[in-house]
Amino acid sequence: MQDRPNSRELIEAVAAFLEQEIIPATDDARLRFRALIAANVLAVVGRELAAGEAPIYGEYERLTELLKVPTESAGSQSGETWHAVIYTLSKILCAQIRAGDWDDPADFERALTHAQMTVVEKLRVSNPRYLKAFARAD
Amino acid sequence: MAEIAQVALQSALETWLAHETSSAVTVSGLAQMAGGASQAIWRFDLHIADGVWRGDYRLVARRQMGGKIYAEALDLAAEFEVLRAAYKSGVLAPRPYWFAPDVLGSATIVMARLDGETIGRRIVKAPEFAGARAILPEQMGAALAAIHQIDIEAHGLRASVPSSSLTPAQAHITRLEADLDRIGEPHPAIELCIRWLRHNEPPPPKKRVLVHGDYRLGNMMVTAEGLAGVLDWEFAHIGEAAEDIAWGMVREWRFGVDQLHFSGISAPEPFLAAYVAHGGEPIDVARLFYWEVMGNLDWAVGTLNQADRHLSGDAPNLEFASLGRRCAEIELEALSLIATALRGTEASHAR
Repeated sequence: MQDRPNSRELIEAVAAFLEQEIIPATDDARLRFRALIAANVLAVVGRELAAGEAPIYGEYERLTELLKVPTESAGSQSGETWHAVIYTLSKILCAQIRAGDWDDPADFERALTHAQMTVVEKLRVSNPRYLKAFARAD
Repeated sequence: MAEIAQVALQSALETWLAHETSSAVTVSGLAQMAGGASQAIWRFDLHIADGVWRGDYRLVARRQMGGKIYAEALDLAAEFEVLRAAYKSGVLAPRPYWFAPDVLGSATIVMARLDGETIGRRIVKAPEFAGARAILPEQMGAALAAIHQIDIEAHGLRASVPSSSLTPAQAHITRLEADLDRIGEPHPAIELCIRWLRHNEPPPPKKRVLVHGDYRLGNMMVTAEGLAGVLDWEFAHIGEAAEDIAWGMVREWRFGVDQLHFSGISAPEPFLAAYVAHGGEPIDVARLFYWEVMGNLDWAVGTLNQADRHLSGDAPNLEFASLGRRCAEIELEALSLIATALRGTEASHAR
């Protein structure tokens, strides 16, 4: 186990450095823009670390249900393996959608629900503010 | 190094433009502006001593650097042809002056330099553009109608801009699928939306027109008085008017002012009414909605393309990298649109 600061705390320190020291100190608009992007990217990574594996396992479970393949328990694989499994299952789902296998309205609705949930899970990490504004606008 | 390159370019521009104008010329104030990854943009002033061109000009030189970002983008020679046709047809656009395939090793366009703002986020929010926002929808509608009435044959554009034997919608879908396959990341949300597009294609357009291909606020030069010119013609092609009409409705191009459906500055109606009043074909609601969904898909896959340029090592760049994580925003919007169409309600899962 590594000493503190942990990875989240280090990321927060770098983001704060960019926001408080670099961005105010530059009058180069382009550099400033990129520094803002960099700070935002670090915030995304920080939220991803904080979210842990729970959303990933949820996506995996939904995919196994849609594709009718056996589901393994959450603790049985490491995070990296789950990523690879989800990638493969999503590829299969994509190929089936494109082939028209999900065109039946009830099937399409189920796949659509899965896609919406997955996208919302991604946005909780990548842009929670957008997600909130989106819900309000609707 | 930078200074040497600049001196060399100044001298090359003077030699070329003296030849074009049959006059002694002086280039001054040459400076590089923020350009794209595939083009360099330089601003300069030109004094022409005598002859028919005699006078002083405020200009930009756009130079092709390296490869094109998008396979379907025009090269500078074709873009010059399109811009010239647009300008001659009375479209509000910067006047194109000269093109040469090789100025110091790069194809170069010289065109009029317009002053103003192109940053969408500023135009939709800054107080100094309040007056512009009031008239831009009408101005953008009128300009787009003029673009769509450009005579493709009379200007010989058929040879210089892409067209497809497929319907415009199918041409888009085919390209989206090819991009997804090349990038290789699974995106069930995009695949579902593409399926919806395949099943809901409106009847083919009665007429094919010259489509600008990127008709949104960020490509308008805007002053306090409103529209000064339509820029960035590199995605021009022969297609369907609805492509351009709906592109400014896409949520991303509302620049955060989501409730104003047209470009974050107004409801669609004043824009659509001006388009028709200036000779554009009326567009029905279903076709507009269809192309708004298509526009979202174009932009969603666009973010993946940009991220892929970073990941593939083609153009390593933090901004491109960060766009990969923005795809979900556009997917949410596209899914919400088709869910609304399918369920007849707002998308409850989006909350």
